[in-house]
Amino acid sequence: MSRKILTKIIVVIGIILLFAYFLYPTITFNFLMDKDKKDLLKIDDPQKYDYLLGKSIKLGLDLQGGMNLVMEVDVKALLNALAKNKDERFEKALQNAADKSLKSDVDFISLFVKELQDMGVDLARYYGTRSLRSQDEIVAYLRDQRDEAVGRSLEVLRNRVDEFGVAEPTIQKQGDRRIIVELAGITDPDRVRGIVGKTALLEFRLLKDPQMVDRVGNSINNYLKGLAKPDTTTVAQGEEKQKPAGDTSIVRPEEIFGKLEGEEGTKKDTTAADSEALAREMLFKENLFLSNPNNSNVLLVPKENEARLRYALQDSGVHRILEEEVGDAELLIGKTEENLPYIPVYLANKESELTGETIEDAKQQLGTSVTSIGGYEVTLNFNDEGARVFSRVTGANLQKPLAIVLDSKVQSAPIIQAKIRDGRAVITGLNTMDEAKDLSIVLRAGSLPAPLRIMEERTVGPSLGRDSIEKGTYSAIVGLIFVGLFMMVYYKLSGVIADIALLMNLIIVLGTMSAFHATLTLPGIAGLILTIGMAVDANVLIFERIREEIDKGKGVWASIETGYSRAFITILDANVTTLIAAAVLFNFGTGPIKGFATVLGIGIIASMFTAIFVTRTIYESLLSKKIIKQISI
Amino acid sequence: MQFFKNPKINFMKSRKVALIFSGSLILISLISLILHGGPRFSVDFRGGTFVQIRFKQKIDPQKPLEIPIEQIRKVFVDFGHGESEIKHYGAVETENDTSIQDIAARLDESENTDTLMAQMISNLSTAFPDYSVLEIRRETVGPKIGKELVWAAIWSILVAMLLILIYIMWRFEFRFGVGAVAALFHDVIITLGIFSILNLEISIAIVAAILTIIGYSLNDTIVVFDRIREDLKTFRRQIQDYGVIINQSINETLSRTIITSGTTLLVVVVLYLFGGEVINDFAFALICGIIIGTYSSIYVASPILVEWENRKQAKVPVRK
Repeated sequence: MSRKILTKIIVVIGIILLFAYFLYPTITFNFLMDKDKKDLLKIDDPQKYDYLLGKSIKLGLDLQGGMNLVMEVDVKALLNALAKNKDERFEKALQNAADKSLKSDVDFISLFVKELQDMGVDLARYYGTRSLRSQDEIVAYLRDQRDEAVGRSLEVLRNRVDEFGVAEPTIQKQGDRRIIVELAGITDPDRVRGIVGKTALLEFRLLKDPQMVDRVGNSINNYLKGLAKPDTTTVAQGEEKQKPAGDTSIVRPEEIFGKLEGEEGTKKDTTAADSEALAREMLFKENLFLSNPNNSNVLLVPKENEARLRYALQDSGVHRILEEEVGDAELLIGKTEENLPYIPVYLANKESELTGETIEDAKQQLGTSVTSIGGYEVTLNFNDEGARVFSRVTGANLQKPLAIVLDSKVQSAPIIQAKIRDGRAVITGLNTMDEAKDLSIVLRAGSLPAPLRIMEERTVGPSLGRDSIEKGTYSAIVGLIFVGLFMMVYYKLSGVIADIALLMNLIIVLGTMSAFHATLTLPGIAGLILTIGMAVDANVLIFERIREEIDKGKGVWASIETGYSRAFITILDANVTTLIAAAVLFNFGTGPIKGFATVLGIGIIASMFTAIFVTRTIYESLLSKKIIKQISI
Repeated sequence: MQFFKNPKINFMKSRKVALIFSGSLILISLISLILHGGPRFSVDFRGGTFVQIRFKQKIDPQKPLEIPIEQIRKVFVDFGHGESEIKHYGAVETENDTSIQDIAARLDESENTDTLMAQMISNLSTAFPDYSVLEIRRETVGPKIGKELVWAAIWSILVAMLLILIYIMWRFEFRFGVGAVAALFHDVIITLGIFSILNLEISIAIVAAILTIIGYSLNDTIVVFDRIREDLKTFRRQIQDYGVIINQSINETLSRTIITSGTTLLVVVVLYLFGGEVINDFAFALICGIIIGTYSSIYVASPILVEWENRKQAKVPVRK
């Protein structure tokens, strides 16, 4: 066998192995693990979980069930909130604009402005200030406010992302006004609508002092490790019932996970359950909370322990410890900085000192004072009521941290440096402009609600998703068998070779999708099936050409040579056009359709390789090894 | 095994008949589209709500399901949605030994569907005490988004066609591009026509199917064109008649055309039969498209090349 052919064989085998390797996480993660096992792995070995998740094919919303929302900021509500001196004419113009916007492509602000003009009312009447006088200025201002409202909503939703409780939620801006939320595997759409529609709650809360933070951290660590027991005397009756009778000295970790098991848990055989319990027990050998050497107000949890942390925060035993040690307090998760491997956890008062409604404005700017030069800061203005409370709170808690909490997540916890009487506060020490901008957006979120309106919503129940997967997979297999059999019957040995190429094509398509963590949708499965049908096209073209050449009386090698080279041009031209269609589809489509275009595109490219290169290599190696002397075609 | 051993069918002879046939199909499609006031858009484009409701037999799992649409409509009428379109969705199936039947309904409402559906499902449960009633899919599209999508869809189809035309003009000649795009319009219009006549909805998935048909039909056309280009180079000296060469090219590629269309059609039919209700119309559009696309590359795209050449040579007397 010549070296050239040997190299080709090595390339082919190498590529099969490479893509099979890519495919491996998908097979283990999507086919061999059920939801319980995944949950367990997430706590057990978060790194492996992340690896498998990130390197496997993602199932689209239509296949695993889920929800897709397209939302728009309610500009009408925003205009209403921004306006002063509202009167009947204002209400009427707003309502007319709302009616018209349903049928018109013109944006709401332009419609509204035109309505007012038609009535002969000056825009400045409602929105004018000393610096905003002309119509154009005000319109520009309103547009700015609208764009900002989109940013604010995005920030608020991202902050709530954990509440959705699904793996890999997507929250994206689409165009300049819309927000898309994709939540796979959601079981309770009503809850999601609630979370999405909730008005943002911004609060200022005082943190507990460092000694207490330290003590609580240690107690919870010990409790979780199963070494210490919470004082049983204060345990409420209801909670006592949840625990196994007579078991007061040791709290087993599996109790913490009691809720997780659900109905599925009962079906498992006992040995499996035992080993799971054991695995879970292992998890709590190490401390959950670590203390922060730089800031004693915060407890740190390594990012890979996030799942552990969430379970711990829901645990009744942990709540009990909190109640006993500090009384009226709550553990709040903080915003994680991207480059730090820790999640900050704060121990904050349950009661808030004041809420975001009292904030009139917040702006980011470059550091101005001596201490903040070179950094960035956010300036805050409170209304009268806010200023009064803020003055009292800052006066009484000098040098203590005051946490800014958005929807129960701590955004920042600046230390109070001085008593602020006039309601004008400055938060200094921010490292980047983006950080300052994010914080000012958050601070405004409480005072300027910009409700989101759901423009489009698609919900697929998990059972329908399962149906679709089963039927799609079934059709793909049946289609594959039919085509494979047909090729074998029609082209004999050559058909078998084409079938090998077809299988390889499937491995490459699915392997590529795994490696890029691409999404497989129901139309995507259809694309896969269509690819099966079309992938043989290249081989049919080649085989027909070879047959022609043989009919002309050419030798085996010459026929193969001519057959492949002639057919190649045709295959290229034909596939490029299909690729163009796939590319346009990808650009135009929403989720499921994008999935279809992805599969079609990868499938076409892969089929060029498998149908041309792979089959030829097989022919050549068989012929040169003299395994076959004639082509069976 | 070989279906066609050196076929010598005179396709070009019957091109006038084919022209009339295609012309009348297009005419019928257009008439149907006009009579129906354009394609029948799904909620994707029109706005509104699509719900799929699953009925599961609770009491006797073996008992076949009977869900009369009229009884369901009564519940819809109570909510002021009597005009909604309600139909059985998919056949009665079994899941975990319990027979299930899905109902699909289309409402014009796109606001506050939460409360509406929650109440409706609970009323349906009361009306059908023997079944557990479950909402398993809901798609709500606001009227504004729908309208935008219509344009996005039309744009994408036109952009795809334009790009393809440019590619073919670059690789072949201008008239090949014209032939290919004419075949595409033919395929798209007739597919839309079939959907209109059968009163099926055009959803986003169907637009995707149409774009795939464009890709597929072209694939087919190009294979024939490629052969024509090659044969023109080889035989131009020997055979004077353009039509004869084109006919020969079609015959040479006929075997491939039939086999590829056959295998593709095979898998799409499998998808249509077993793929489930959600993908049904999508698969149906592909079936139509593959059949029409195969036909059009032989009888629409190629004859245009012949006619083009004949017009060009009309002034010069040609020996037949």
